[in-house]
Amino acid sequence: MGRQSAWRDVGTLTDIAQQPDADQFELATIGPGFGESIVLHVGNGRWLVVDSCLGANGRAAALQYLDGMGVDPSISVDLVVATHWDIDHTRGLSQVVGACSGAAFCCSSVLRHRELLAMISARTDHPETMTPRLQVLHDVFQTLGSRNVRPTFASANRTLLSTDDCEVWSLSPSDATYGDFLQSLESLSTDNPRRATKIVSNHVSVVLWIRVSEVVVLLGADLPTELWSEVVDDPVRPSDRASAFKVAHHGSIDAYNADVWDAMITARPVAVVSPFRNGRIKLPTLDGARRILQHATAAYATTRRPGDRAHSRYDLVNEVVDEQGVNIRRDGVDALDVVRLRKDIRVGGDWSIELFGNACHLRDYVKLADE
Amino acid sequence: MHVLQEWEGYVVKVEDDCFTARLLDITREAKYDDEQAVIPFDAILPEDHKRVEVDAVFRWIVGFRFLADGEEKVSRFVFRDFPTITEADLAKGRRWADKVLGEMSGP
Repeated sequence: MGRQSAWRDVGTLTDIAQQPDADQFELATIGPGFGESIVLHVGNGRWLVVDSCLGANGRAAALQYLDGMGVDPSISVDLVVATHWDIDHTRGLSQVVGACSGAAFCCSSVLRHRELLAMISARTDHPETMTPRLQVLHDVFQTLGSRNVRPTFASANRTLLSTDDCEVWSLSPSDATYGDFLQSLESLSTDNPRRATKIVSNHVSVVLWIRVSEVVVLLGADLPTELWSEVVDDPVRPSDRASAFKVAHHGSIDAYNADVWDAMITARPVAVVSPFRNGRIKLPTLDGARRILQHATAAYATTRRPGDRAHSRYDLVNEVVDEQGVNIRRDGVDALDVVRLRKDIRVGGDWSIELFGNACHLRDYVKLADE
Repeated sequence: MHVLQEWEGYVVKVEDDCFTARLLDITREAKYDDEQAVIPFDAILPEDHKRVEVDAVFRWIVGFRFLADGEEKVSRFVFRDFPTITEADLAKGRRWADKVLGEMSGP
């Protein structure tokens, strides 16, 4: 696809406040460097939210984004999806679920498992052990329970939402993965107080395939490489190819599968990746970014910077931190870092691409990482 | 000890020689954990190494203390010991799970 005239890099919330037209599809990926949240407009003022990260002042970024456009989440959001429960995808999720009071909620099918919920809740009498990851889950389920809202538990090839124009499918976790997960749950020792925290969630994360009229997008969650084969080879999944792909697991090599690009994505797609500082490694790595660029020349990163060095402390504190070899970065969330794609639902055509905050073309991300 | 800086943190990733943590700046009265630190294992006590795992919670204090012949810089990590979750805790957890799953069985 050609470079779009709508390509602009503005950067403050007021500049991204323009609502899409009623007949425009929108895929807005927010990623400040720690966390990811996706907001979708599926036409006629109807919205979906997938995952949550924090924006300014600890507010859920998706709510900040919708508020900026004057969208009331309590009446305009139809579906909230939690692809998995790693903290970089769930910070602020209880705010989102609380604000989107008219929305259905969807999460991985493994979260219907009584024993898993029991392990999470067993910690409520020990609030000092309720880490943010478990607290979010507990709060979300508590809210849903109080509202008498039954979540949709996502699994391979399940329709999560279906209207005249819009279909939302979950493509994972598969039955086999679900079984493996239950087995791993049973194998955890009952005397390990931290066992609930050891459960890996990427494997049971929810991949989403979304179609509005002829526009199809694929959201890769954090699904690892080996499990993508189950998705690609599944004969039941919807077969239409996506013209936009939210790359899985922050562009990590561990989630790369060439077959996905060959079998599920169109020839000239737009790819979006939300970088993630993962310990000493920044995802995507150079190698990971280059692989994405092999498949999609129109590829974008939600943020280019690694975070700001935190300096506003006593000199002695900075000295001690440096002497110990500790590297501290403060999140940069004054402006939302967003890659926004829009396309006319009826006419189709190329995606209009807008970059906000620190979002950039993936080529520029590679150049910066190379320096 | 005179405390100049205090964080509360939780571990998000463990590597061979370091771990990554999200930090809540208590001194700045930050409302949420908006900092991320990569901390070498050398910065913490050897006996705390076994406590470092994903979701482990700690307090980190930096300051100085007065000695007879001057001042000494201090950095202290205190990792929280998790209480063992008992069968009674789990039974309570199962009751909660049954309750919310039951409440969610509506339309």
